[in-house]
Amino acid sequence: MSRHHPLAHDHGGRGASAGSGAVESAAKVIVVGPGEAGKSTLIARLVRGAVNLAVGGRTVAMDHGVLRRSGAKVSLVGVPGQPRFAPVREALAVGAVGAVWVHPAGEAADAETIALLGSRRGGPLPYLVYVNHRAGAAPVAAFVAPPVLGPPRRIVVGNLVESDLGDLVESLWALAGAAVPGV
Amino acid sequence: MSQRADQIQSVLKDLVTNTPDVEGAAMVSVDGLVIASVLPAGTDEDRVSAMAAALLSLGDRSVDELQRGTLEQVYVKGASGYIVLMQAGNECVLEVITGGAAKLGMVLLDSKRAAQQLSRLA
Repeated sequence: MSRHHPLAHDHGGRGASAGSGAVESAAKVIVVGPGEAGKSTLIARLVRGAVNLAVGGRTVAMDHGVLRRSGAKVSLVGVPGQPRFAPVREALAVGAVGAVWVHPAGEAADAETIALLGSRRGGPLPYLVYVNHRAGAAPVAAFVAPPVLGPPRRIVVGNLVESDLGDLVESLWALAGAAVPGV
Repeated sequence: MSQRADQIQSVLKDLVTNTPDVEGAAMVSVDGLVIASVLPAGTDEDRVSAMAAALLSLGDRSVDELQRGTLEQVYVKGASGYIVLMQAGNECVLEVITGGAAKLGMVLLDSKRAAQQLSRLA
């Protein structure tokens, strides 16, 4: 089982409170990137018990988990990365205030993710990038922002299996908080 | 085309031909790849297959989360007809598309029979 990040709070698919009466500020952030980039791994590391709808290790529908702190929550929705799932990605992106782009180190930015982030009415979706290196490889920031999307809010470099994700988590909260007051 | 592929195609053609108001059918793998299809002209079978797999997967998870037992079907109602999805064996999904005047009971009955035949071929 993947390690759970200490800055992330538990919330899996089950066990949500029935309603304490407290109002939580909430933001939806999609986790994007090409197939087998590590999107599901990222969500699983950030949220214990996160939902992953997959076949043979490949996401066919979505991933989902919720980060909570101090009366706010970020709903993380992972999209399937294979090109044929473009309509599913488009549907899942509706209502998102930002994105975490899991980018395999050494590869060019993928066209499907560029299209998805750039398709929002009113301008491209704000995004962070996690450059995911193979275990043991020297971490080198290697991400060229597509001109049509503008620069990312933050680039974090590491390995999704081994690295500490603290910087990414803080950047994620900042991304969501910039769009939704109280998050 | 192999004999098995021919048989799968034949089951889908029979379903479309013999069930009133069924306008198309496809057999799709659970990871969203088309195995065989009889779909209206102009349909992007790759996209349709991927969406079918995603819908069935979400339906399966939803019934589990809400403790509604084992998933039997997913159906989507549009102004111009239905889309019905059901398992056809452990690794395949049958997708059926109907017109707006379809009698859902007949469609489900014939679709279930087709799904059983397809599960034996899958």
